[in-house]
Amino acid sequence: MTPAPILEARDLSRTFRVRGGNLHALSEVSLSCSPGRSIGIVGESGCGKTTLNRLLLQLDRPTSGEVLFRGVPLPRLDTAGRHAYRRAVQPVFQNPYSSLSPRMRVRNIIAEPLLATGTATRAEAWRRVDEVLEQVGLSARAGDRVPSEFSGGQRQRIAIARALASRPELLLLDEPVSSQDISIQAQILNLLKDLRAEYGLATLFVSHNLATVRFMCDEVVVIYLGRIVERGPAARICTAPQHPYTRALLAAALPADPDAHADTTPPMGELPSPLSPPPGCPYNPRCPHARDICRAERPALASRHDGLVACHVAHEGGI
Amino acid sequence: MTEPLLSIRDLTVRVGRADTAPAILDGVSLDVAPGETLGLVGESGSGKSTLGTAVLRLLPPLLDAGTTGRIVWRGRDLLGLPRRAMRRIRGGEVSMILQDPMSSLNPVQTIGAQLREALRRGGRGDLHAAAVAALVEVNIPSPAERLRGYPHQMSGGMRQRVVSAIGLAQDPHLLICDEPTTALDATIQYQFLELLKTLRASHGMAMLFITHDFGVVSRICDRVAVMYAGRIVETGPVREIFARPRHPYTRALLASVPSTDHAPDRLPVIEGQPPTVGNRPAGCPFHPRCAHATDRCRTVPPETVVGPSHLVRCWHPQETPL
Repeated sequence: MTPAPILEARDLSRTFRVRGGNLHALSEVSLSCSPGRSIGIVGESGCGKTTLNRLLLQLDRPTSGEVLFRGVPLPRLDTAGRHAYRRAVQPVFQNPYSSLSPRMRVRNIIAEPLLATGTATRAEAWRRVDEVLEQVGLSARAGDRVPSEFSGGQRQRIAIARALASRPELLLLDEPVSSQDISIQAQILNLLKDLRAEYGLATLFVSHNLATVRFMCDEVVVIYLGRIVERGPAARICTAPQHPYTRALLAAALPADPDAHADTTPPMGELPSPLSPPPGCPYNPRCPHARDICRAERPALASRHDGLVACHVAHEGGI
Repeated sequence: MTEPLLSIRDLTVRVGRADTAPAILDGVSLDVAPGETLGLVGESGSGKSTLGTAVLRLLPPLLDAGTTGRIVWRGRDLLGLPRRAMRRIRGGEVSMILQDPMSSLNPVQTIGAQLREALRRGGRGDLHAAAVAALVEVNIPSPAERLRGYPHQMSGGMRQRVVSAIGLAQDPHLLICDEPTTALDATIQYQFLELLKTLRASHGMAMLFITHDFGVVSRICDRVAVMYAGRIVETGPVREIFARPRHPYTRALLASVPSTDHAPDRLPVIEGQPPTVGNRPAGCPFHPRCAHATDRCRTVPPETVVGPSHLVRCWHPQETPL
C-alpha cells in the first residue's frame, strides 16, 4: 500500500488563447507525488513541462482538470490548508540569477517563506536559516551577504536552502542544474539526492536530460506536445523505451563514448507548432514507424509491461 | 605529418598589456590539421571561448592588446597581420558560428539579405541561386520562401542551420564552432551535429569545436583538448582520452557526468569551484581541488607525452583505467 499522495494532478489541461487559435500547452496529464518518491518529467522545449510546474504551484489555473493537495482540490483549500500547501510544496527554479532577489540578504531570502506562511517566529526563522545553510553546504556567515557575492552553483544552493526552510514534503525542481557547469551539476544533484534520503522528501524533477533524470528519479514521465506519451520506471525507460519518441530522446542523449552503438532510431524532423498539432498521434510526422492508424487516431495511454505508453505500434507488439 | 592549418604557440591573453595583468589564457599551444575536428572542452571561465575568439582577432581591444604568442594560420602569424588582411581571412578562410542563433542573425533583415551579404563577398555570380543552394545544403525546406522570411519566423534549429549556411558561404578552411548546439533541444542538437558532419565532409574543412559537453565531443571530434583555468591540461585523440584519461581533472569531469546506462547512488564530484581569472593558484591551477595533489604541484608541471599524440600537463598522471 503506497502512502497517500501529497500532490496529485488529475486530467490536467491548460489551453492558452492566442492569436491564431488555441494553444494546448498541456492535455489530460495525471500524476501523483507520494512521500519519498521521485518523479522525472522529461521533454523538449515547448512540451508543457513548465506549464505543468506552474499549475502544480498554483501560479496558473488549469483550463480543466484539477490539482489536489492531500486529496483536496487547490481552489477549495481553506486558509489553514493553503498555508499547509505553501509550506509543504516548495519550488526550486532553473535560474538562480533570476529566482533570488538581488536586493535582499541571503538570510532574508531564506526566511521569507517561513515568515510569510506564519510557521515561525523571527527568532525561530533565523535559527532555521543557519540550519538550512549548513545543510546545503554553505556557512552561516553566507546569510549576511547578498546573491551577487555568490557563484551560480552557490546561488542554486541558496535557492535550495530557501525551499528547505519550511520543512517541505515535496520539492518541485524545474531544471535545477541545467544552467550550471558540469562539476557543479554533480555537486547539486548529489546534494538533492542526500536531502531527499535524509528527510524522505518527494521530488518532481523537470528536465530535458534523460541521464540526469535516470540518476535522480524512480519513475519517468515523458511528455510530447503537452501529452504524456510514456511513463515507467527510470531504469527501464532508459534501457527499453517503448515509445518511438522516448527512443529518439535516448538516441539524442549522447554518451561520452565514441564507440557507443549506432542509433537505430535517430530523431527526425522538428516539433510541430502546438497551435496546429497533427491529427492522430502527435508524434506521427516525426515517427519512423508511423502507419495509417497513427495519422488517423490518437493512441490512448495504456499499460504495457511495467508502465504506460501511448503508441499504436507499441501496443500491436512493439517496434 | 601534414603541415598544420592552424598552429597556436604559447598564446597568452592578459587583461591589458602589463605583465602582471591577470591572464585569461596562459601559454596555450595547439595545432589543427586540415580536415580535422579538434574539440575544446572546459567549464565556464576556462578560456575556451577566448581562444576561439582570439584566432579571429575579435577580442575586445583591452584583451587584444594583452595577447602574446603566435597564431600561425597557413604559415602567417595572425597576430602580426594588418587589419585589412585579417578582414579577408575572417569569414573567408576562417569562419565562426556561435551559440545563440537569434543574436547572430539580424532580426530586421530577411534571411535572404543576410545570406546574400555573406555570398557577395565571395564574388559569386547569381546571388539568389547561390542563396537557394546554400539553404538546400543545410536541409531547409522551401528555400525560396524562407529567403523572404525573417529569423523570428523560424525555429531555433532552423535558425542555427541558417547561421551555418552563412558561415560556410565562402567555403572556409576552418570553422570555429562556439557551443553551437547548447541552446538546442536534444533531438535538434543530434540532427545539427549530423548536418555539421556532412558539411565538414563536403567542404573538406577543419573545425575547432568549443563545448562543455563530452557527449558532443565523442560524437563529432577527432581530437580533444581539455582546458582548465586558462591552460590546456590534457590533449589527445578522442578515443584515447575517453579510454585512458590521465589528468585528474579530465578523469573527474568524465566521471561526474550522469549516464542513461546506469545510475550510481552518488556521482563522483570535484569539490570546490573553478578559480576566477584574478585568483588562479600558482603551479598547476587544479591542485587545490585535486585528490592527488602534492607539494610539487605548486610548481608548473611540464607537458608529458603519455601515449600516441596524447599529452598531459600534470606531475601525477593517473595510470588506472577510469
